Amino acid sequence: MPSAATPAPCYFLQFSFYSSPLGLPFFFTATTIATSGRGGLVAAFTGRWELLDASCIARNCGRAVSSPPSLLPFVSAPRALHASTDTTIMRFLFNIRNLHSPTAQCTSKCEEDEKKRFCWLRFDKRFFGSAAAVIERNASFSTLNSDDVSYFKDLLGEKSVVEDEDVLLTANTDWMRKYKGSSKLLLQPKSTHEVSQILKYCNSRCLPVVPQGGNTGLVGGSVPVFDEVIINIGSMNNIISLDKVSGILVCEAGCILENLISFLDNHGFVMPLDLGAKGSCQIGGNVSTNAGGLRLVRYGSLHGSVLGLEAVLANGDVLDMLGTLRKDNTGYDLKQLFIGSEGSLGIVTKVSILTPPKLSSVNLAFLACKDYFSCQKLLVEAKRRLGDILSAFEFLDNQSMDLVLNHLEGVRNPLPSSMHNFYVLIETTGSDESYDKEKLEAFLLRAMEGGLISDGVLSQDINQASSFWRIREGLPEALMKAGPVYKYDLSIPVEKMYDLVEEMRIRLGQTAKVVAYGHLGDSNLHLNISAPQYDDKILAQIEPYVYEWTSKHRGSISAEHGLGLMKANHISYSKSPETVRLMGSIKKLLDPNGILNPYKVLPQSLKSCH
Amino acid sequence: MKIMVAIKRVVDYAVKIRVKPDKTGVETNNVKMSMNPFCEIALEEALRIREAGLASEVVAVSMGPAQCVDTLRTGLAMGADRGIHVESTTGLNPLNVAKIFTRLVELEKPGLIFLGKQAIDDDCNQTGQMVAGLLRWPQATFASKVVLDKEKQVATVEREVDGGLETLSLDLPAVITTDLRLNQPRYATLPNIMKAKSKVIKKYTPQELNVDIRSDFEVVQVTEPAKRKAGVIVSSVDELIDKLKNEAHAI
Repeated sequence: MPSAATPAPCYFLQFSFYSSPLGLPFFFTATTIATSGRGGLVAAFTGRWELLDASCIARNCGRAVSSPPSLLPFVSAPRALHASTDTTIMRFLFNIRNLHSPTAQCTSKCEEDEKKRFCWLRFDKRFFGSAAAVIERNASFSTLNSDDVSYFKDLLGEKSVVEDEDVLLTANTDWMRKYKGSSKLLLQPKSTHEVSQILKYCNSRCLPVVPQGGNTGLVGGSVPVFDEVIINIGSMNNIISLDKVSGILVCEAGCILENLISFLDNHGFVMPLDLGAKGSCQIGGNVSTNAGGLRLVRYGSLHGSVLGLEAVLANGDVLDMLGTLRKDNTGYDLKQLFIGSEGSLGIVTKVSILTPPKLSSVNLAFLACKDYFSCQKLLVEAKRRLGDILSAFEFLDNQSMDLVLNHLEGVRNPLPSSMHNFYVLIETTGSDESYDKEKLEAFLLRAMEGGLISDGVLSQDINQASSFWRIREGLPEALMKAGPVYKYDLSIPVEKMYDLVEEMRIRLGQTAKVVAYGHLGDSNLHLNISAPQYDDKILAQIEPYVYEWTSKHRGSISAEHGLGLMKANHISYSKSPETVRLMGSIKKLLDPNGILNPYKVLPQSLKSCH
Repeated sequence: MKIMVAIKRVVDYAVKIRVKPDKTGVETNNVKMSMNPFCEIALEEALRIREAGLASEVVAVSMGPAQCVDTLRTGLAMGADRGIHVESTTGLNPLNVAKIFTRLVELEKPGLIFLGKQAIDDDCNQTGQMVAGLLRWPQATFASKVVLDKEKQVATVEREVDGGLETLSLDLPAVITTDLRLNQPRYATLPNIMKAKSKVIKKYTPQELNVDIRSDFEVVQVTEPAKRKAGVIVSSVDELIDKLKNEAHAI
């Protein structure tokens, strides 16, 4: 029985070494523990240590790790699920302490009496995706066998068929380390043809698959739930063409967003989307999840800027919709189905996207507002007075600011003189430096005189601008470092948005910290609840309240993150039964066996009508 | 006491430098220009000294084309009291700048001069030293800590040298050039940006200051550094040894 179906806890041990015991980034491989389960734990504390540098850590743990003192490796023991595991882990931690003098310190989240012994270590007991606990593996799916593996090896070549446990561990685990599958196979196709052949085979065998890009999703959509075959598109990373007159870029789905951004930069264009995960996320994943990000207020959603795409259906059919036309009213615009459907209808293999010209003059202001009402008024004013150059309007509350200052290194408060309730980032992008600056300054002066802004700074160079952006973009990372977090990504009418945050603070009281930030320009709130531990009691305080509240105010329970596994069963908070049923019919039409990214996007209850 | 600070307008630190196709220099058209980071540090130090009550006025000086006024406005928004802009459309080399600056020092009579240790565009690292030489003032370059004694009219300057820290004691007036670790410059706040708009920027030309800006050297060519070749992955130790012997001639 695959582990995700068992409602038993998995363990995440999180170590913070404030100084390295051996003068080196100190570590043992996650896989030593993870792959051998309980035996691995024993092996680890009897002295099988490995010293790895930061890049190995990043590779093993699938996330960038800066050098100590902020080293925060994760070690998981996914199959050590016995009642005795608790004791095993306790003993294990105790042995680490004995092996290495307690040069490190950290908060502990163990039982009170254990606190002293493990004062320099902390470990969180996490449940892998509460939703997974109630989902059962679809019995009509086949199980991978050795013939399948040899078929794929013949098709793709040995190198593109990965069974290595280290690589699989990373690919099975999501960025938040909240969801974890148990796939035994990762395929790395290099062409559309290969993707088509893979799907054709999987469909005939009824083998479920999960398409994966940069695996930066936040709702468990990009990792297997059980043993789905992972199809990673990362090897398909060629840029096919750029029309330098119209700015239309055609590329393969595995191109990393940041690489596209720098490629376009050299040719005087920009991507119409930008988000914090740009260094890892891939354009195919961005399109499949209809990623929003920081510049949506200016360039609109991917439903507008994606001009065409190529997608492979479950039966292996390749749909060539790779148009490069801005206008094309011939029949149903089917490409839209693949934008935001999270790989449940087909795998996107190529994308053509309209990229706006790069404008040289970018200005950024970091502002403080005394209340939420001022932030709203400022937004209205900014749209009215800076409309032609406004390119981002972001907000964060003082709890967010606190968190970033406490958990991210090298971040400084741009407005240190006093603590403010809200902070707003306004970015303008235009073509004339002095004109734009003058315009922005005049706007800010007005807003300050009108009392909308209580203080603010204007970046004078790119370095300052990056450090202001770092505060906003670093928030997800700071939350991760702060500990367990419940994340909600909601579209709520701007004037109501912060009411929810305040209500949540009252509901949760001292049990958890409510942190709010988001894309105010797009009415998109990122509500984060940072808790001392993952706790069903806390979760019960949040869900379904947050969803109900959002639904009541005609908001969306997923503004830009998607539904994935986390919210698949909650779709009805935002969509009518008729709509969901039609979605189910479309899914059935395009993927009759349901092999594409199963258990996600649509509710499980729909499956019964299959 | 008055402090004079030189600030230079350069291609922004974060911009990727491109060489002009005709190889006469680097592309500055449509490129973000900002204050040289070392100059920012110099100005910050001067402001801190003024705020500590050890100086009465900070004057920021910039030389070059009309847009240098933007850089001076940034300096004024950070807190400089007034600005001086020496307008020149022709390029200025460090000796030209040092001569012009020396003339301004004669007019302004500051008690202390701060400059960045170098500009990130030409990386000359000469102007501060030349100014001190022309004025015959004591100098401390690459300062990482500055302490002023107003009574004794002495500046104590720590500088990072290869083996550790060197501490110098200078009689004022003096010239100090600033290194990266001296301080962290402040941001320009909105109220200060607004105040800066009404601050005075005085304009001069090199001719008015009687400085001949002839250049005694000529830039022949500017080229990009050679691109690094991609590495190869060898499949065996034998192949590696073979390559080291026969291709790289390293062993």
